[in-house]
Amino acid sequence: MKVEDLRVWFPVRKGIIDSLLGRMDYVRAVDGISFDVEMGETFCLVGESGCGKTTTARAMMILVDRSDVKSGRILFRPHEEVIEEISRVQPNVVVDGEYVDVYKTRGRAEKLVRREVQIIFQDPFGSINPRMKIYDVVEEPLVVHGIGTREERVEAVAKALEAVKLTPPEDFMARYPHQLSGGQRQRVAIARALVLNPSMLLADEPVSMLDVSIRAEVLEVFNELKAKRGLSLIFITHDIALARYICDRIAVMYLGKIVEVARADEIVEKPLHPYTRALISAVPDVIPENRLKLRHVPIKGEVPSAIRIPAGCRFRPRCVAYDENEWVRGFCEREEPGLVEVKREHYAACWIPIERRFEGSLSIS
Amino acid sequence: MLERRREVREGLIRYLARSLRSNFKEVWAYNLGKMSMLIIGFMVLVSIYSLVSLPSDFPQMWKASDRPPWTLNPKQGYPVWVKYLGIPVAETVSYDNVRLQEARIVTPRGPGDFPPRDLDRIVPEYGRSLGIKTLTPIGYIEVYRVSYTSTSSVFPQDVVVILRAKASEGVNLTSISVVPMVFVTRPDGLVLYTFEGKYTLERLVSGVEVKMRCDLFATSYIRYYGLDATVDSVCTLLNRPVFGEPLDVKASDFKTVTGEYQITLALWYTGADPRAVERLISNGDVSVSTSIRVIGNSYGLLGTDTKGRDLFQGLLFGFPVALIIGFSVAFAIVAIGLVLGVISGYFGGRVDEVIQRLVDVIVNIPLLPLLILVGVAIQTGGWVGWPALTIIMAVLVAFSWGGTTIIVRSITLSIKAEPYVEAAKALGASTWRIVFRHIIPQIIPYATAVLVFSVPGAIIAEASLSVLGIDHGLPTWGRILADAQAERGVAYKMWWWVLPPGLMLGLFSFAFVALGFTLETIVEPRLRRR
Amino acid sequence: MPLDRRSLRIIGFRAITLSVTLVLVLIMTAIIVGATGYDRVILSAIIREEIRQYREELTRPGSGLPREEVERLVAEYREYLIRTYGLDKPWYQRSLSLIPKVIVLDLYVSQAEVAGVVGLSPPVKVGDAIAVALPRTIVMITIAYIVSALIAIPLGPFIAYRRGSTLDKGIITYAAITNAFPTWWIAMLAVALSGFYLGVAPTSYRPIAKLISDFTSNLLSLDVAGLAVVFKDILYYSYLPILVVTFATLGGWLYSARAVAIRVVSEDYVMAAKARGLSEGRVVRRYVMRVIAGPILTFVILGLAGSIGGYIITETVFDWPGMGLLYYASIAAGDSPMVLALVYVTTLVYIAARFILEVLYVILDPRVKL
Repeated sequence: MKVEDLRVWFPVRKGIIDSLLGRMDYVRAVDGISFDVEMGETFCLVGESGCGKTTTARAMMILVDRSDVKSGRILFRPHEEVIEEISRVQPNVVVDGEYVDVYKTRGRAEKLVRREVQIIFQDPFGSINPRMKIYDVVEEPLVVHGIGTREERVEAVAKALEAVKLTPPEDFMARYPHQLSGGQRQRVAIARALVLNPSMLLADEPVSMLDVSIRAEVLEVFNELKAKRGLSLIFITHDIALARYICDRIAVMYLGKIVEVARADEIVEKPLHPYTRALISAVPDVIPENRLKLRHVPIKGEVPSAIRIPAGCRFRPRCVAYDENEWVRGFCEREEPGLVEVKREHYAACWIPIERRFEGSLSIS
Repeated sequence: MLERRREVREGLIRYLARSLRSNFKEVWAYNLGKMSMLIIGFMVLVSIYSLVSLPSDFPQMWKASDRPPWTLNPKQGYPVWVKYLGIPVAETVSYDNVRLQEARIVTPRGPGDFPPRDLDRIVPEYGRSLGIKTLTPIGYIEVYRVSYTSTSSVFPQDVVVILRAKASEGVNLTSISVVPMVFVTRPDGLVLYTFEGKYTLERLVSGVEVKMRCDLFATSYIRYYGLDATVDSVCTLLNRPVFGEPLDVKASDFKTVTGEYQITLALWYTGADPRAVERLISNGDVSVSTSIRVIGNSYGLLGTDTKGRDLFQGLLFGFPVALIIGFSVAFAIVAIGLVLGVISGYFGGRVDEVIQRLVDVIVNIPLLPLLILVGVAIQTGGWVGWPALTIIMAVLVAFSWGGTTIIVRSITLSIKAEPYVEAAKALGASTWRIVFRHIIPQIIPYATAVLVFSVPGAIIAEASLSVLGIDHGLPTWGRILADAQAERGVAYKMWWWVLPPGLMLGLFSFAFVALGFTLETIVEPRLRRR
Repeated sequence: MPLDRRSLRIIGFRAITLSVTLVLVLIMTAIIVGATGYDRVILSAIIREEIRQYREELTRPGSGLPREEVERLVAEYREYLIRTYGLDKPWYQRSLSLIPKVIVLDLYVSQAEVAGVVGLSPPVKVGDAIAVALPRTIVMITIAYIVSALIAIPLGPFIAYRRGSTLDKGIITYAAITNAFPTWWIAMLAVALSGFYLGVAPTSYRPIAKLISDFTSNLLSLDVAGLAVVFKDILYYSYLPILVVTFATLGGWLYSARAVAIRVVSEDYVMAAKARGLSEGRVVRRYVMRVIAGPILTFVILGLAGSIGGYIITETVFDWPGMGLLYYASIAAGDSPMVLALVYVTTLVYIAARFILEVLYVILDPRVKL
């Protein structure tokens, strides 16, 4: 999947007079991000609440209102057969013969895309209809897309439940969600996502609402799926430690923009952006002795509103590095740094590493 | 696409059936729920009974209050069982298809034998009775006799003879006439001639009911008792002179004569040769069935109103009517509210705005004055009966769906915000599917509670309108009470008239409100759990 | 309490909605009345009345007009009226011209018995008849409400304290049962029993009209002796209706009082007062009462608008010379102008009441968003 310069702005309700005069304010949830996810890769989007990661996920699932997608496009590369069919049904959305412009799809084409990309939500209690039996929940995608006969579907559901280690599947199929634990429900949600054999899975904070002791079992499922099925997985979390555990590559988001992208261990061991550094230092230390040490988290201030984004680098008001490095302040105040490859396969959006890398050879335009 | 729709629908039906069964059990768990279900069950059973036992044109029968069978009932009759309470009553006794006691051809023996002696042998009452006889029956005569016992100080209201003729093809129905003559023999030996008339057989085919006539015996009666009164004053309440004796010379008051009465009916066939008539009758080509009925002052399980209508039957009819009207109106209100509420809540935007404004206005319109206006207008316009009632129900529905819409809309909004709705969207479910599979099943429990709450509203509104004077003529509990109110002077003394319909209204209302509360208690924790 | 911009906006909004409602009701009235031909009856009644007055004018002693002349003028006038009122035009044009007359109540009572209900003789304008009848209805409702309030508000906390007890269950059952039966039927039973069977109450309450006017005239002329007699009679004629209406509606009051009181009693500050050892009476008087009076009143008064219909019918059962009897009589006598005027006035009162109440609601409780 390729995300190109995506901007998702939500309009803010103003008084009658203002809206009549056309003066609108926007919450700039996603303010121009681009990234690629390779086939079979596990890609993490990390950030605090309000940084836009959930909106990005929803945008990738075409769950955001088309009118709110102000610019950019999301290109998705499905299986061969799907591309063929889409080119028959809605040829104009096919880009370069391989990709589909997700937000341009309508009707049948849109549905075909949905078959290929599935999402697992954050809330295991809310994302499953409490009045439906587990069987019905997992079967639903098959019903919606009209796949298979009754027997075939039972087979498929059973297989999906086995894949998430809810065995024996027959036991679980007859139960209701309230009879399962949080971890089990989340696994049901994963099974539901798997039953259509999608090529890509999106997981939006799938374990944040689970007890810490249960997270392991769900993460195990993800790991196994990764290994066995070669799925592409986009994993969204606020927990950078978790991201390191499960992902190949990590992208850190702040206030609607990606501020750093790199391989997982690289970004955790050698973070370049001040924000990333702050996130990492905020991770609780497992080693008991260290718990008593006072930690210094290199960040100040509070998350600003996404309606009034600071000029220049948007992280500047909170940036400790800005305070410490007088020479870079000019850049930070005047212009927003773009995401630049400052090391091999390590991108950062901060003037400090950028200047250091391209010392002097970059000028502010 | 169609297949999928069918699947959705099948799934929904399966789901509904499952939930209905489990809901029943849940409701039963509560005391209130048990009570209400028992009452409602009882009402349903009574409705079924009423629909099978009452004639299909019962509503029209009820409206035609001055026709049989009501004319054969006592007016303002007590329920029959009040006698066990010690209240003196005169019973209503009916003899259907009275057996022929005697039949003979009476002819004068000779020129001076007038009235014929044979007549005296078969109908001795003819000679012995007080009263002017304008006809002397000579020919084929049938005699029927029944007895009636008067036990109390209450005067029976009337004596009715019902005649119906049946004839085979080819019989000349206009040539043969029947003259019924009715005699009442009192326990004190007095015999009164109470009826005389003449009807062709043709006329008798459709049935004839004859009651007592005072003018025949009044003058003789006055002479017999030596009264200083006019025929008019004696005849104002003719059951008194018949069943009682005067207490004073002015005949202003009477006292009942208790004991065994005998009612004699002589049917004289005239207009054709008596032997021919005899042959026709014995062949079965002509047959006249007679029923004799003494109308007391008590009748039926719940007595009668001022026009003689059986209040028990009226009450009975009210059961299915209440259920049908109540459920139809409630169903319509909830259906409209559900559809508009879901549309408004799920689709939002301008549609939502419009619907909300509409609801705002509708909710503020006072229902009763408008209903009154509609009722009066259609009454003036000449619509009555079922069409009038349907229009009133339509108006009720048209202005009551607002509340439901508001509730449904807010539930829809809260469901819409649930993650599983977005999850369904994410996997490609169509709007149709989301609405029918995810949203509506959650609303149904609440909608059912609203439905149940709304059932009594319709019938209470109808009752209120009737009491105010808007007359649709159909027998409903409200209508019966309205008739009582219209004649409050006499009706309010008749507790069997005023009490039962109101009790039924209250019971009906109570049962459904109780059920509604139970349903709400069941639904509420589920909502809170979410 | 303060009337800030937001509250004003809400109130303004409600006013608009309610005016739209009124307009809509009037339009619907026009349609109902026109499509069923009802307005023809009304207009004919109006025309008849106007012709009668015209004729009276013409035949006044001293006018000196010959008979044929009078008849000719009357016929001319009739033609004129028919044309003006549009009886010769299709109904939609006609009904609309009727509406302005209804709004200002420029109609006459067409049947004498109806006028008799309020103790007037024709010609009577509908407005006058209603002006006489409406206060009588409001008086009865108001007294019943005051009595119910006086009973329910103190009783509410009392029951709330004893939640779950037999008394509590009894009160709820009482409320549920009296709510199920229509008020007017309970009235029927009461009148039948006390009036017809036991004779301890009057069977028809029309005399109350004259009694009230006697009372006021005695009051004005300071005739104390007469006052006492009239007062005794007034009591005789009013005790049963008030009793019945209070009995029937008390259930609803008690239920609301109980619900509100329960909510307040479980508040922490009440618990704290109890823990401090204050007696129940003290707690109730100082803390609870003040808080519950408001919500109870609002609850019940909001329901008042809806129960007006029930009262109207109850009046007919009592034969009480108020709005209810006016309704009943005009329907029975077929007095179309009166019925139309009554519907209009009732709607007006209803909408006005709702509006006032919603304004009060907004003012008294700033947390409420309508």
